Amino acid sequence: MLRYIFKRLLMMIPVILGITFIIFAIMSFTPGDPARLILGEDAPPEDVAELRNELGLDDPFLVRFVRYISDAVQGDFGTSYRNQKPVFDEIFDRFPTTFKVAFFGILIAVFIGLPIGILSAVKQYSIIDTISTVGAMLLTAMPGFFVGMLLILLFALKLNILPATGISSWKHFVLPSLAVASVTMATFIRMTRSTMLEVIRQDYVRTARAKGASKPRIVFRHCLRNALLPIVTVIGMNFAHQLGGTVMIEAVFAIPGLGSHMVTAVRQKDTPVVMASIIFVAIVAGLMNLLVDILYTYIDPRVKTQYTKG
Amino acid sequence: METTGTVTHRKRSQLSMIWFRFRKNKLAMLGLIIFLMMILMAVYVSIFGDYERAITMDMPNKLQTPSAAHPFGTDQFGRDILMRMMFGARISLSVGLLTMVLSLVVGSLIGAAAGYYGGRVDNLLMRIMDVFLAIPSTLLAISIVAALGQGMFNLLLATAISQIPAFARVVRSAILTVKGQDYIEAARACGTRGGRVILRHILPNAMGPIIVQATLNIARTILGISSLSFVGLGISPPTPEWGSMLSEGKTMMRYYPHLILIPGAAIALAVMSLNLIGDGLRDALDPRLKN
Amino acid sequence: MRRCFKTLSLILALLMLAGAFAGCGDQPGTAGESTKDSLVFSINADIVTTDCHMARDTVTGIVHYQMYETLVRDQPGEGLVPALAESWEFSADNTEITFKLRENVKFHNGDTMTAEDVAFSLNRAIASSFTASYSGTMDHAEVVDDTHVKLCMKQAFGPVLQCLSVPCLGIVSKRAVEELGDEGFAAAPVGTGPYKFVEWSSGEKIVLEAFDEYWRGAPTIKDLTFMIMTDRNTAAIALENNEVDVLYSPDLADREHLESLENVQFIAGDGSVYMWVIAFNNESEIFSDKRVREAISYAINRDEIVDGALNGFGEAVEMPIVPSVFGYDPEFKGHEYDLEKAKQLMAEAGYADGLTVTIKLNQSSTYTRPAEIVQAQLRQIGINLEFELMERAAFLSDVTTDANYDITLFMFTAGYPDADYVLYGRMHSSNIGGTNYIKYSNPEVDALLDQARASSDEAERKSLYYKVSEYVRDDVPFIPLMTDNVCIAANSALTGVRASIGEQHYVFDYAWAE
Repeated sequence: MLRYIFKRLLMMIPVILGITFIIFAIMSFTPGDPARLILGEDAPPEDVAELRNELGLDDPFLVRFVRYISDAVQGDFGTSYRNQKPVFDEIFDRFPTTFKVAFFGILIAVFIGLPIGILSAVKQYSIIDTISTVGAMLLTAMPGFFVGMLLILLFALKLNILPATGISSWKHFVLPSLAVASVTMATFIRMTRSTMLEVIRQDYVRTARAKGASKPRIVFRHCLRNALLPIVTVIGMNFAHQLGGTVMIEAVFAIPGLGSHMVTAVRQKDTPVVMASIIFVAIVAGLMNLLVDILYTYIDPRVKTQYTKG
Repeated sequence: METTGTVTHRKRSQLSMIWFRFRKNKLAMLGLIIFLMMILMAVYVSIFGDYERAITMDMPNKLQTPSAAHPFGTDQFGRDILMRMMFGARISLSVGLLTMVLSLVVGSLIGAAAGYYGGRVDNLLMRIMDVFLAIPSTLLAISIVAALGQGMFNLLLATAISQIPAFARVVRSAILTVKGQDYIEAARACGTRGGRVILRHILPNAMGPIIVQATLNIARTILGISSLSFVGLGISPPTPEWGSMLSEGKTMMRYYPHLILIPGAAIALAVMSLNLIGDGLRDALDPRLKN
Repeated sequence: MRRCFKTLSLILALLMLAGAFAGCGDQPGTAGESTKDSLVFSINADIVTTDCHMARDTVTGIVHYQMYETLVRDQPGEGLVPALAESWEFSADNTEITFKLRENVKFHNGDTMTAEDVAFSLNRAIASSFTASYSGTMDHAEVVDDTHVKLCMKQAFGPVLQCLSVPCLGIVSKRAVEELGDEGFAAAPVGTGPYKFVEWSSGEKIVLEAFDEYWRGAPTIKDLTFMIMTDRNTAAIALENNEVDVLYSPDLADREHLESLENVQFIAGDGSVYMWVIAFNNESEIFSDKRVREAISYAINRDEIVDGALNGFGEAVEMPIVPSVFGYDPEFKGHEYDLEKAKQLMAEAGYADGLTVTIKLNQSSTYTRPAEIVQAQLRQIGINLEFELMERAAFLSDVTTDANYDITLFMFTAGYPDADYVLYGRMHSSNIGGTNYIKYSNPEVDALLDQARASSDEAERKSLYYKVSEYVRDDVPFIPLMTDNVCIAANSALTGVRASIGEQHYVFDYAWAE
């Protein structure tokens, strides 16, 4: 088992390197001069040139890339062009915020989505099934930022019971998390529903029914456990995805999270920050997926043998 | 025609079977109807619509609520929202379609190559796909647009690139399922070359999941483009696009909610209808769900 | 073994959860409960640094105005008043200024301000590339004696005192900088202002507290928190709900609503220092033809732009100097709105059938909104403006540095409210390749600008700038469009809040009404 984990961690490295290369390349082609941005449009050209020199911006692409990698491997990810602070300071400052929003969002989506999905599957084609499916579809069809805007209109403005912006207390996280939940909930509902449907048709379920087991018992002991595998995959994937993807939600609620940090850095051509943020998110996402895979072994012992075999 | 005893059954073609199952799915039909209506709207406005009306400013009449003259009201520059919404449909649908085609072609080629040749080719290609998947799609799109500049083509590229891995995966797994089958062996035994095998035997059987993925892909593209436009990286003014309408209306949404409710509803309906169609197709194509 | 692993991962998961919740509860000093001596001030962007010599943007300036002080202070309503300098004297040729410093001024770290600190600070500012637009004409500062410091300029410069009032030229503790180094100083900044630095939570807030040994007396407001709210509409909601007490730069879309609220005061001021312009690259193929530039000038309806882009909360300007900037003359008239003449000029220039040209824009709505209106107006004379929206970084590099554009819509901002800032920077031929990215070159105008800069006679300077403005109207190197009014919104119970042209908001002057 440990060998498997080790192998997976090792395999993450080329992926991370690949990401680094692609993003570095994209950033190199992005027009805009970080030095000019920092000093503003009134600064004399000599000062700008001087700053460019200081930051090493005029060297060729490969030189800069190799320099970046060699520095990074030694733990030096550079400082932000914009405010000269070490890149990871701000990333670690902001990550908990994004994590909380993503986490609570997924949590809400799971707690609402899973029961609805199960109910839909058990009572397939009933009114409940139709309403919940259509409702979920509608919700997920709306862009996350639009849902966010509607939530602000309703809860912060009309009803005035929740704050519209900021991150100072748990109340500030309710609306953004709801927005995140709305984006992912439908996936969970549909996933749960279809997996449960598959499982329900299995022979062993029919056997259990024939034996006279009660419905809830069947649902929980037999169906759910077997349906959990794909569901857990989807949850894990979504969570990992949300970590980098809360950009829009952060924009609407003006939350200082990692997503908006990355976007600002891209737009300001603050390459060190972009690189460090993406690498960070990729590593966290990779670890998350690994965690999910390990979780599999407890849900389905057969999987464990597959891992240890290879 | 097949005659079994005294009863004659008309043997349904596979396609009509699928259509039959699809029709039975009420939700999928709902989606189809909504989507067709959107297409009709886009076509109608292209022929009969007055583009000038959608982009000419009319300050004295700005920010009007829905009325007879302007069924959906006017925006902060006095432009008719109904017209803008309909033209927005044309843009969203056409860009969505183009992006889907682009990512479909590229993704399928990659997935096909990976699935068919297997081994190291498969490994390499899939690793590259993993790399792209590991980058959050919103961020990737923003980076690409920031790098290449705005404009229709760059937008297409940015949105398409994040969708390619999904297609590659779908095609690859479809191919892997089919690859082991006997008729493939047979074709190979006859001496058919790799490419031909892929095209003539494998891809047609993989069509199902590909089409499903394609439908869902258009939906995701529409969402993606509206997101990009929302942050100001999408389509430039004065072209009416739902996402930029949302972005422009956001500052006044408190006082004039119709500014955002209408484009928001448009996006929701378009995306939802496509999702319903995609799901319906998936159900219709999957014989295991036959009751 | 399996059970072991299971419990291990369960504990791990719980630890992660605990970590996530760690920062979760209500934190002290959060927005939402302002007691009578605390204040929550909402700003719409994060500051760049806490070191006053390393930044020049407006928002950072707002925070720095509380922590740092300068030799002179720009007090809204009063103009320039002595601050850390009690008095000053110009030399005969106006290239040297000797300041008599105020005594017994304390730094946040307990030190007393000396001439050494002042000279050190000024030299540090002059050396910093961030302050170039303010310190460009300054050469160096030197200590004369314990209470006098002399500032030596490279040339006589009319607006020098105005430049000395911005936080970029703030006075810092020499000892603190030398002991801590630049990075250390940024982590623990030391100034003489009424508020001292407590903490900066990146992207979220900056916390300051009253400095009781401040030389003008201990501030009334004890705890000052700057909350960063990048969305101005939701910030307005926060103000309405009393979550914040002051809202810097409210969105004009909320103006009517805020004015109608009882617990909110919407304070409108005069025109700001921001001037929207249509700028031409005077060397480009299309726009080197004066007739085309003139045609556009006659086709612009400024009032419509003010209405559509600013909701009417601004003023059309025909002079390249806005009302709040020295040199402005309300009598000045630009071109009249005349569509026929515009079309005629277009025909003369050979564009009777229309002209399609790309306009490069910073993609922020600040510029795209007026640009959309201009686009619609120019369609009437056959000009089809195709937008090329760019990120700020790309825009600054492509347009304002490389001058790689034909036409753009941007802002000329006066860093200090003197006509010299904009006109000299943008129009003097010596600045071509630098700030003069409109590539305008006219030796007569150069002479006028040089003369105005060196003179300290107000009447003379005004008439010189009037003449320069006539060149702008007749040569049309750029077209001034409009300026917006400054405004600020605050809780009705707060006194002392003023709208400020130069964005000087001194919380020291604020107090909660009883």
